[in-house]
Amino acid sequence: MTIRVVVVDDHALFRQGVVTGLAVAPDVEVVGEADDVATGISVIRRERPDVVLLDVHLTSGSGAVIIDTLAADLPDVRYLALSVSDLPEDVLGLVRAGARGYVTKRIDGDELVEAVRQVAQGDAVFSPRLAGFVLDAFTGRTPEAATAPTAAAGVGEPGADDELDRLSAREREVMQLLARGYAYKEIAAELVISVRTVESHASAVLRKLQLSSRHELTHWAARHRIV
Amino acid sequence: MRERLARCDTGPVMAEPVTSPSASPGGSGASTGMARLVRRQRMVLGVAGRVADRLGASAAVVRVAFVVLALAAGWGVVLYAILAALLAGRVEPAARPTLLRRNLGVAFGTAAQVAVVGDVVATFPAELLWPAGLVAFAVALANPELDGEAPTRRATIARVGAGAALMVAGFFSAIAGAPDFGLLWRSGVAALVLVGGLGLILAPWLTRLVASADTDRRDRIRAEERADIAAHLHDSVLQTLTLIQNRASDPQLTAALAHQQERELRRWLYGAGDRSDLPVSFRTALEQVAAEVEDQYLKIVECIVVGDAEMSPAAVGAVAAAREAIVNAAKFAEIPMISVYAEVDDVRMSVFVRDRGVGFELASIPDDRHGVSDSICGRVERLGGTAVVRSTPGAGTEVRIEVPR
Repeated sequence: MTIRVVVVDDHALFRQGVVTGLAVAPDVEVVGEADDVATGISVIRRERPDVVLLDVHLTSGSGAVIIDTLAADLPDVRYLALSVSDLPEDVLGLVRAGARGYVTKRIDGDELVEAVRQVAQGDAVFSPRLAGFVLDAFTGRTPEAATAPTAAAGVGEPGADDELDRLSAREREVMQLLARGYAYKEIAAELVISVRTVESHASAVLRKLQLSSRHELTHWAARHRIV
Repeated sequence: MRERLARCDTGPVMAEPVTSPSASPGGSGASTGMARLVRRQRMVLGVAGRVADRLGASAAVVRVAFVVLALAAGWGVVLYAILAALLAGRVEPAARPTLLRRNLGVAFGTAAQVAVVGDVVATFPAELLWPAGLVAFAVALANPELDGEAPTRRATIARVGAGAALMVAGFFSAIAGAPDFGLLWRSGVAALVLVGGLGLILAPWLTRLVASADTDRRDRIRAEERADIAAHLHDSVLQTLTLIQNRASDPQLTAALAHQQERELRRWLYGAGDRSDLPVSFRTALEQVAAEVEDQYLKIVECIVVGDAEMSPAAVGAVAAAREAIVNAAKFAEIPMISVYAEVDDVRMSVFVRDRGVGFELASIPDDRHGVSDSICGRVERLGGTAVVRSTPGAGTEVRIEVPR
């Protein structure tokens, strides 16, 4: 069964590059392209693809708008965010809107194919950068976080420090290896667990990222303008 | 009023070019559409003409109205000064065409005001309105925004000087006119009541004015920003793109140019630039090293740092060791991409430098190769840390550096 993909990106040359890059994979088929929010929505509605490669910034708005608009009608469509931006608020914005992963546009063709396959399976895709963001946001080891009273998060929401706001030891290990540039397979070998388990840890982290009400998480992005 | 007219010959406001053909007050009120294109002949501060444009009345009629109101215990001067302040620096809307009924409207409005002022004067000593008018007018004169453009230095000095002189005159005539301070007090309260009432009446209009001034300012800021961006893109990106087109035959150079430009643009867009004034930290130092190796060896060095620490001997050592590891990977791994991940916690700094390149047998490194043993391991061990090199031929290399803080 082939994975049907729609590419939404306002940069025509880049879109072309993605299409060419995906063409080498026999199990991936690009069924539609769009260059703005409105066309994107109509193409996705028409094609009902398995995976949408979605640019963070479209000239007519944010990619998150597309996810928001279609989430209720087409819950099975999965989104992989693709961006040149390294801004944490961009990255986290799309992930929190519901994207299954985030990769930078520097990714090479093979890696992109692999990422599309993972997203199609329902797995999470973390670029090393995104894994770094996650570690930074969830561990709060930065100097600012150390000096600023973290109690502020807990005061308003008594249950804030529940498991949604923390990474388990294993999840942290997985994130650290992802940040170090390891693929799932390599992580599995390193931690002596199955690839399936690595994937489920990654998905769990993604869910926490999307659902956590952690006060710091939302403010973290604004605080860190990391390149 | 005569004083104002006299200033036309010598006043700084006349220092600017006057393109309107007519010099007579009556002929200068060109209120047709053409008037927008022609700088209006200004008698004093150009207020009457602008008011005329807005009202759709003849400038001559408006000027006469101001003179008449000025004779009514100086109220015209106060009004003139207030309007000058309100109109200062504003972009004029298109002039409304002059209509007879609007001229008549101005005339009736003037008559009504004269009647009101007459009433006020009956209860309120006229000699106090004049000084108030002088002070208000002086303030208006000193306003540099009157011309809606940057005034020349001389014009500013002259204007501020004239304004100051008038203010002093107003102050002394107020003292002279009212030696009785009880009267001065009562007049002050009366003036406040008058201004308050006026404010209530004018409030919606004033808010609109302020709002439109905000819009103007925002537009101006936006335009300036756009100019900044254009200048930056021109200086950097356009130049680089041109270079790349010219040197398309040299792939290595074009790759280097594109690379360097990308990082520069990123720094500019995502604001790493504003961090340059902060003290250098572990994070910035490591990112800097990664960038240098990118430039020098034309590799992609993905550098991810979690946490940060101030620069210390330990941090310097860790960064230097990491640099050595990154350079080794760039030189020997035969792969375009190197991953650098660093983590700072309360007790230590860890750096991982990884590539998926050719790898090597650790045992095969000859003893005289100082790279790994001295620059990395030795340096790190002197700081009380550890460095571990893992490499598998064909699968890549990872150097793990840990230094206590």
